[in-house]
Amino acid sequence: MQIDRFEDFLIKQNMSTLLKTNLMKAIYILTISLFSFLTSIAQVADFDPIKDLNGFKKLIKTKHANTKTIKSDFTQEKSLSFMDDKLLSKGIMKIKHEMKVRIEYTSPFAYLIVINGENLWIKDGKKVTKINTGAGNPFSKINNVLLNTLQGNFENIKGFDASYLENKKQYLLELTPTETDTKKLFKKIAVYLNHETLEIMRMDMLEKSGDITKMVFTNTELNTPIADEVFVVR
Amino acid sequence: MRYLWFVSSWVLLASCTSRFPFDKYPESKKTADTKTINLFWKSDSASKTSIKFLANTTIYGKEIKGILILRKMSDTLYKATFLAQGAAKLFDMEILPDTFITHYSIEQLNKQAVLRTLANDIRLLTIGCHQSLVAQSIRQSSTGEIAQIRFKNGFRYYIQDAESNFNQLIQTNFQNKKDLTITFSSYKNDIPHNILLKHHRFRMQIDLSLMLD
Repeated sequence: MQIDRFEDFLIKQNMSTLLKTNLMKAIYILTISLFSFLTSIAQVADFDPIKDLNGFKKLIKTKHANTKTIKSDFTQEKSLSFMDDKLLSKGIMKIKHEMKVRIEYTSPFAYLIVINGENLWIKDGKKVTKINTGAGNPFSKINNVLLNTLQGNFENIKGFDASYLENKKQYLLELTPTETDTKKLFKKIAVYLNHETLEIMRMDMLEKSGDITKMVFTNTELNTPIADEVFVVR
Repeated sequence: MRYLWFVSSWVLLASCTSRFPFDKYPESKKTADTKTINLFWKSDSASKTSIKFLANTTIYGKEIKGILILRKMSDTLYKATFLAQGAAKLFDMEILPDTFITHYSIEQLNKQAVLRTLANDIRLLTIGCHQSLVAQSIRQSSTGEIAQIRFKNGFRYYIQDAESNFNQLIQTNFQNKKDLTITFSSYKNDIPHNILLKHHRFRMQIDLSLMLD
């Protein structure tokens, strides 16, 4: 049916679906950024395939078995191909086993995303939206990515093909979407890890629109106490 | 008798939105018939720079917050991008005087009626606020100046305060009823830092705050 009038569309369209889908996209981007802390990769000229891939995976698994909390500042630079412009955002990310994540934008918006098990909260000003990410929910796929990343089970990450590269200073995990819903969002995701500490340094997301989102992580702290209350939104 | 329902309904609807009382403005002095308006891109050197707004869109009580980025490419071509929180892109479009080209849109917005409404609003803020206007009437008073411009079947009213800042742009329909009001406020260095765009025929408004680099 042709909808000619904007007001007709608004009545027919469930706006909450629109909001949730875009929140999902934003959260997807952010969730993938969590690879950052735990894994990582874009094919770059001076990177070669990791020689000892099993050894690398074992190292990652050991590293994260010993990592109970992670706290880091992040700067997000979005390069807009259409506008030939850039947009900077800043925030703080906190992670705690098991399955507790807090992503807090501080600039230019105050905006908060919290994942705690199957619960996901989004706080925008005073407005709080709670979403259950149980089986059957679109967010369950995000949780799957998150869980496997936290556990170092890279082979179990669904929706992406992963390739592992390295140079003397960094490891690079390059993720290429294989499923329809992830292909709608990304062409490629690249996560860079410090070769020595295995901590995330940077993540680049090449989006389908041609835009590139770069996240740079600084001031990373491991195993500093983080209260459980931080992962609950009221 | 059977037309009574129709006539009554029409009268009721007609009284729902307020008629813009241009005639009540004092006609103390008529000025020239042209009016130049230049809200953001005030010089050639400022052209092709982008302007970013924190945007809070409310549609039938639902809020969508994000960042609206506008870029002037020429006097008759502007680009617009809207990003939601987390920098997820909602749409990219080019705005021209009589049409628009959508380069990217999320599935939920990708309806002609929606994109046309968004494009019309952005066109008013860009081309509509950066041009020389041929006014049907310009009236001055001690409180400012108001220019009446014919637009399709209705009018646009550009209202300036005594300090020559544009406070409001009102678009009316063929009955001179308000369709859309844009209110400009918080002027600093001759540039409005807050803009409120309000539709009168349906519940939608866009609240914009200029982002400073």
